[in-house]
Amino acid sequence: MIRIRDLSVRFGEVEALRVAALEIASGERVGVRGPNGSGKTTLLRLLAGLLQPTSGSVEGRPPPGRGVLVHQRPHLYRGTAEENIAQALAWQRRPRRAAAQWLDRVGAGHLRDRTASVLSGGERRRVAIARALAVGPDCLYLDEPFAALDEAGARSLIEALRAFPGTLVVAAPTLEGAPIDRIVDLHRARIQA
Amino acid sequence: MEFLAEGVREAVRLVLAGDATTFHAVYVSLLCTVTSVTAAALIAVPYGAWLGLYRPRGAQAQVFLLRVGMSIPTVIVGLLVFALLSRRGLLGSLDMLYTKGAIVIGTTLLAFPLLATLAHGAAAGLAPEVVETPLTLGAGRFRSMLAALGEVRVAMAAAYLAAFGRCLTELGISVTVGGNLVRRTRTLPSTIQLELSRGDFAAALAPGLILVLLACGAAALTHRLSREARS
Repeated sequence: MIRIRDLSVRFGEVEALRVAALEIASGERVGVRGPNGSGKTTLLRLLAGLLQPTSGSVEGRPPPGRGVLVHQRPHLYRGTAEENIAQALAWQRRPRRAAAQWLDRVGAGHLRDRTASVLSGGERRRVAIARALAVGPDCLYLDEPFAALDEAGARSLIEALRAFPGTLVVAAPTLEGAPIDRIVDLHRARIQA
Repeated sequence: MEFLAEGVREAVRLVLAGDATTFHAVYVSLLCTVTSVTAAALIAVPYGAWLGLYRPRGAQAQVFLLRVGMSIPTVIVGLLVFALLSRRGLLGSLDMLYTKGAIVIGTTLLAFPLLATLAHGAAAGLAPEVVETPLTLGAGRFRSMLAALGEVRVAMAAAYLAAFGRCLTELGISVTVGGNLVRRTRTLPSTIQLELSRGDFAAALAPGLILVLLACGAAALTHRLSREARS
């Protein structure tokens, strides 16, 4: 269970996020909805342990590697899509040979031998999500995962996310079709009651 | 102009004749430069990248000090190393003054702030996703830093070559702590300085030509690396 209490994140003079209380149970699927600049990315980075609160507390966050964030503009390293996943598996000391099957699960098996630099935005996103799933996280945080995806790509991704057994937090301006149990609304850096 | 052309002709003849003293200076220059820049890079690049990627407390002050270090004249670095290695100095017991080791220590100190500053600049300019991706995938801070450095490898290679150029051409350190001893610590720049003080322009120009060739080689290597990275 992740618990956030009286939390504030400030970047200089700007308050990027304020949360009075938020709880996310293990295995729960939560959607975070809000317009651009509402603090969705800040909340996900906070949950993933990539950001510390300026004040307040956040308890129960799994450590990096167990809680994995897929960025809105995911970064892939040089090499093929498969090599990117193999690299992540190597970081976690897992067998690299399992890399290709994770691409199949998000409907991106055909991208296996393509170099990261030639992939489109939607393709990069699917490879990045396959990479995140491959390391077997307890919590998965996805920042606008369906942006730039075609219908078939979105369908494959939704299926893969439905099969994911851990906690899922999906942030996007709209969450239609996303495999989530409840929605948390963010507006002007504050979570709405 | 005729004086210059005559000097160049004589310098080319000296280089082609394989003058042993000049080529020993090439050897000393390359040995000291490669050793010191490599030694400095092993610490300075991760250090600068760490400052740029993770912005620890006091990072700004450390970057400021590195920039100060970068602008200190080489002769002052030479004096500092001289004070350390002279008989009454902190490391006087090592008896290293007027050796190649002393030049290596000095040029390592010269290369360190340059490499660390350039590594910091390259790392700080990366998008946060570049280092956050391996971090969130459980790579740990050190391996995440290495992954991020891989993304700026061309900039790092260029930084290495810039430090190489600076150390290869410096004069203050090699004269102050190397002593300009023939076939022991005489480098290309100290050879130029000595021959010019003797009034032998062609003999001063010969090592100068070799320095220019080495600089061209370093620049060509940087250019090739940049093209490979773009392709």
